Amino acid sequence: MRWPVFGLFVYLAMALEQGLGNLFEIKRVNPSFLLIVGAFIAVSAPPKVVIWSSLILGLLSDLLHPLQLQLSGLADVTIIGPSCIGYLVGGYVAIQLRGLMFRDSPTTIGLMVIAMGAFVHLIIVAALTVRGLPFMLGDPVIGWYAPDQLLRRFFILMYTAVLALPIGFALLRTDSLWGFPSVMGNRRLRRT
Amino acid sequence: MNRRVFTHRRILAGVVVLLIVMSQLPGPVVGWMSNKPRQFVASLLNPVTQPLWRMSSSVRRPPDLDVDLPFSQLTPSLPPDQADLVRQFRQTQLQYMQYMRQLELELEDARRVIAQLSQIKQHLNLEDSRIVVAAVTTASADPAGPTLTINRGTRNSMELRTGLVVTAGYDLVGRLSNVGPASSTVRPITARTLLTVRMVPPVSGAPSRQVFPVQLQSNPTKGLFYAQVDGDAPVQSGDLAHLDDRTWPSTSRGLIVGKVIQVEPHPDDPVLRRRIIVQPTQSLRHLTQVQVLVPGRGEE
Repeated sequence: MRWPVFGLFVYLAMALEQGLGNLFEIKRVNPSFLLIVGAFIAVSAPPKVVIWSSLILGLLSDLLHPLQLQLSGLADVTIIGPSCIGYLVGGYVAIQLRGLMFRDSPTTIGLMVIAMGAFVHLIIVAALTVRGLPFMLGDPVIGWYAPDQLLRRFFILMYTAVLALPIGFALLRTDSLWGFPSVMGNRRLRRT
Repeated sequence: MNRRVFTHRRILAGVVVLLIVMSQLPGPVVGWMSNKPRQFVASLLNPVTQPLWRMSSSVRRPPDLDVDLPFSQLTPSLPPDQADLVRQFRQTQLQYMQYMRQLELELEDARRVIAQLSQIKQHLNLEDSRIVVAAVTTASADPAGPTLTINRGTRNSMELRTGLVVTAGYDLVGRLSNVGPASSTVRPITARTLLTVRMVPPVSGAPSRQVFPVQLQSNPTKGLFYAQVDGDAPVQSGDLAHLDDRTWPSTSRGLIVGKVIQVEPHPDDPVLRRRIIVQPTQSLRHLTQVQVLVPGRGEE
């Protein structure tokens, strides 16, 4: 995979996610463009590339979402870790599942978003909920309520999966830019 | 047989362990570790997200609530020139302070009014306070951590720091919660907070009613404030909630928190108590420009 191309598309995904939040928002639910890019890479890239790119996407996701912690006073902080681990596990799951799917289909991107995203969000909620336990070092997140978060992230995931269809279609058109290696000698079917 | 010590799998395992530990560290430690990368990413994104945010906010912006103030005929659009902006804001604040003083002289205890007048006089005498105009580049919708990001930071001697008050015209937006070199984060008033306000009746056509303090509880999910009042409390729909919280800087006193949109019997005690619902007059998640109040050396 060409990492400069990865960097460019990740930058675009972050810019769309942050800049067009109001445009895509439905009842305070926003899609995650980083997850769509992660699912696209998970479908086609070698396993090592999927793992490390998922880590990078998780790190960026952590840095883009600050939280208010009990011991931080007025300041908000970004916690590095929950999304990184979530994306890492999601990437691993995607590697296991991609052999069952057609790689040229936008529907595959959508399904991969659901598969990856389920693990991403479950791990994020688990990691941040554990912080609130009495015997843990970390201070709890103010306003964090796990059932509400799970419900909200479920809708985020569904919304992202729906948007992954047109965006996945567009990403598949840019396949030649990414430099993904051919899989078992079979290149993608040339689209007319 | 040579065996590599650092295999891919071992490196990955080490990274995972490190991430698990980092995700459970105390807040101040986590903040120290993630601050620089976070500010770096924000500074990279700001040039692109700002025009996108402005476009998206203009497309789906909900209508602002009407606010009936004696100086509401002043233009709401902000002139580009800094001196005109400061002059206009000072003029507005002076008029508003005069209005509050007038109400309090009619309705409040004389000793507390004198103390408040002393604070207002001290506030108005300081000439070295500044207003920094900033563009909003993005806002987070997560109820667990609602934030606004602005494109001003510690560069160019802006003297921005955590805790400064942020406004949008006469409306209180929040306080700075993180300041970087090129961008800062604002914690809006709709985050999980308690605010002490004074309910002021609107100007036009309203009989003189008592101004009384109320404690508002925010609901981050809905972006509204709720409060319990007695059944005979002099509050009606249309009243304005002005900040009067001692835990906030003096520069923020009197700014508008929101407008009462509904007064209803309290669900738990409909006979003796009422519940009021206050909504910010502007949607804080659709702002495109805000002002940061930087106090002078004499203020807190």
